[in-house]
Amino acid sequence: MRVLFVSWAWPSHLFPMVPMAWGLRLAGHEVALGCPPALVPVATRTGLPVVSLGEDVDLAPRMNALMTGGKPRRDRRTPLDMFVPVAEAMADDLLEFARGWRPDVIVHDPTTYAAPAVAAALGIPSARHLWGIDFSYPLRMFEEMAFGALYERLGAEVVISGRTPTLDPCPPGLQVDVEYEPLRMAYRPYNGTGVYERGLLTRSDVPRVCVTWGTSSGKFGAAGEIPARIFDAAASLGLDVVFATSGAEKLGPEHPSSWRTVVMQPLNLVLPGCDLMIHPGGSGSAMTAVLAGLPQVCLPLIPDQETNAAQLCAAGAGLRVAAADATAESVEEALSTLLDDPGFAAAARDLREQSRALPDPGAAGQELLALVGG
Amino acid sequence: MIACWAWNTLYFPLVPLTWSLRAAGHEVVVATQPGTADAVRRSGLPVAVVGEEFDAGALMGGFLRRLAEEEGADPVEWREMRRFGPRNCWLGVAAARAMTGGLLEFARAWRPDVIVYEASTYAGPIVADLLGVPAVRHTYGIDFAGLFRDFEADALAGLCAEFGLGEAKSLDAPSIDPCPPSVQIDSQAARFPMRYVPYNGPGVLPGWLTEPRRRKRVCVSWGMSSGRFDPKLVMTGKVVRAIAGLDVDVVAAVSAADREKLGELPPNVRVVSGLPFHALFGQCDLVVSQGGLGTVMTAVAAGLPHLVLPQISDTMLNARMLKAAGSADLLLPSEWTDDTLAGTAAQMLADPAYPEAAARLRDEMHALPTPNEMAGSLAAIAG
Repeated sequence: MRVLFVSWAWPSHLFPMVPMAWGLRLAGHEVALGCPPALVPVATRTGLPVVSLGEDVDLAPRMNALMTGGKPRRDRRTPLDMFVPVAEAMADDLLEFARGWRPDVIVHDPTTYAAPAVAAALGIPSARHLWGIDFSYPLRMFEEMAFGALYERLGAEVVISGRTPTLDPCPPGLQVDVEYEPLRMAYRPYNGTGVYERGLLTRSDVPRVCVTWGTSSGKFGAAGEIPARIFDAAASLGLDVVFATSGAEKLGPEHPSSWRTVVMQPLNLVLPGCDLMIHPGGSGSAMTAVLAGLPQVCLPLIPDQETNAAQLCAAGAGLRVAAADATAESVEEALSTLLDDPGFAAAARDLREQSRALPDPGAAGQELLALVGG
Repeated sequence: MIACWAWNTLYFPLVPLTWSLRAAGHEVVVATQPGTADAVRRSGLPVAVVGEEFDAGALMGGFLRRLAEEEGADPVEWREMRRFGPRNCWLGVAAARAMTGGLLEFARAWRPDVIVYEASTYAGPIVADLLGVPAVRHTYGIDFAGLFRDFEADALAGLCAEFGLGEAKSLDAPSIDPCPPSVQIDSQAARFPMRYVPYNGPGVLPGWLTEPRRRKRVCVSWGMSSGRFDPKLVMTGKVVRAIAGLDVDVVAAVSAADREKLGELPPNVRVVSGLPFHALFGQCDLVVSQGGLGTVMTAVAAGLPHLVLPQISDTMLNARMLKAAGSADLLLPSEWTDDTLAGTAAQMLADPAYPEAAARLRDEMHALPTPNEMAGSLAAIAG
């Protein structure tokens, strides 16, 4: 069969679907990744065939406004408004490509709303592929208001999240409550690709913390003073630090020489030598840490990171520190709590084992094809 | 740990199994020399850079020029290559010399449970034996390297001795074999046939690919390796002009570097670079190529008839095997005129026996265990 995977322009929305795309390809199916032009270079480095769809929309200003606590715009109608221009910029080109390429099913990131609309217009099935915790499902009541005009233009009935199949790579104990029956699968971290940093293979007895801003939060800079406070806290606790960065910032010479910066190194290669992680709470980082069996501290900057942090706390696998008033002391307290109480790492390992017991992404993809293909 | 020396087209056939192992939850790393690190990164997989670079293209080019002086312009038939004995393994031995020390050092730190090695990456079995872990050989399709396995121990004796290894037992490792058995060479060694899933590097699909075809479409390519052996081997321009005289659309698939060398082209020729063959071949009726391993196996996977124009012994082997299966024909360099090239292509496009044979070969390939299934069997194969 032919499966088209579609994501809008942030790597964190594409990456979770890569293992399933490869899994289906290696089971003999045709797959392609569709994404806006800005993501094409990152998408091609997955090794899969890529199609560029529509035009780029820059969401960073909206996200920055969210993070700096700016007031909602007066013309804001729904929490999904920011995804409307994203969907509009992609829909027509996606429709044209899908007409020619003829996918049997379109699998899409849950906030890539052009995909279910185009699939409905063409009368082909679509499925949501979660990035982890199902952040957007509780917002489904706004979908009709936000995307009604798009569906009307395409001549299709609005598809509400949860009414199409949902592919769920989240460990069950970390997922929010939902009213649909997901197709569950094991989470296989894909965090981009990189050359092994040889030095990470060796380590001392000092606990090592990974500090990262992920690929998405990194776009907004490292959120002002917060990193400095984290590094102060780590130094005060005498921890070894690996700073995994997307390149925007590096550790300065004032830091201990044993600390390392790794640039664009996939987290799944960095974390096996670490004991805990601290980050804003983005899904790729959070899930990769869980799959490495590590406890984590989250300092959420945007709403989905808040949800991730809340779920990690509820599962006992992490702690949340409010980013707005984080101090070196509050960070130090959170880090030392995770180091002193083995329950956090045990909870993370429990989530990891839940995930490992689930079907491979390729097998879950086959289940989907059986479901939609009859 | 996946071991491959620095040649992109030898690496590509390893990508499917490696991704299947990863998607099944195993930790994987591709260990290769610096020259292939970027190709590994572009396949979405983690890479460990080991050993030193060596200029395999120049070495191979020099070898081919000397061979042509002795043997003439037409390639030596693969059966006759056996008279060169252990010298058949020379390029793999040179790669192993540049790579074994670095691979050993990395493997000692990373501690693989099993080493999967490209068929001519002899550093793989040597390091596996030095570490005492199992090794699995991985072919790249029609197993040219497998013709010379009985010479490998002699060819590698010196290198093994330098590392204190009496003999590299893993040179006899079982092979995972992404090749339909009907076009594979005979062999006494254990083989586990696997479905070949084409990986030809990443790429962006152009819009025209999904538009309806008005005429038959012929792809002409000289692959990615020949130009690195010797730019004079690349005959794309000549072949394209000959084929374009037919009532067909021609797609000339060239590396970006070869684009300028094509010369003047007729209007029914479209030039593409960086478009994966697996995306293109499904939209073609015939491929005309030098017969390299990636082109050959990807054409088989697409059920596409093939006119092979072999210049060296391994592509000669590919051509003979496909011709025997009925999906290909071949012309030797001494036969390449505009008339024979266009005439043979026209005859292949008109004769339904070629696509029928190609479809049979494709179906045989598609019935083999997938890379996902093979990944599940790796532990049993490694023993």
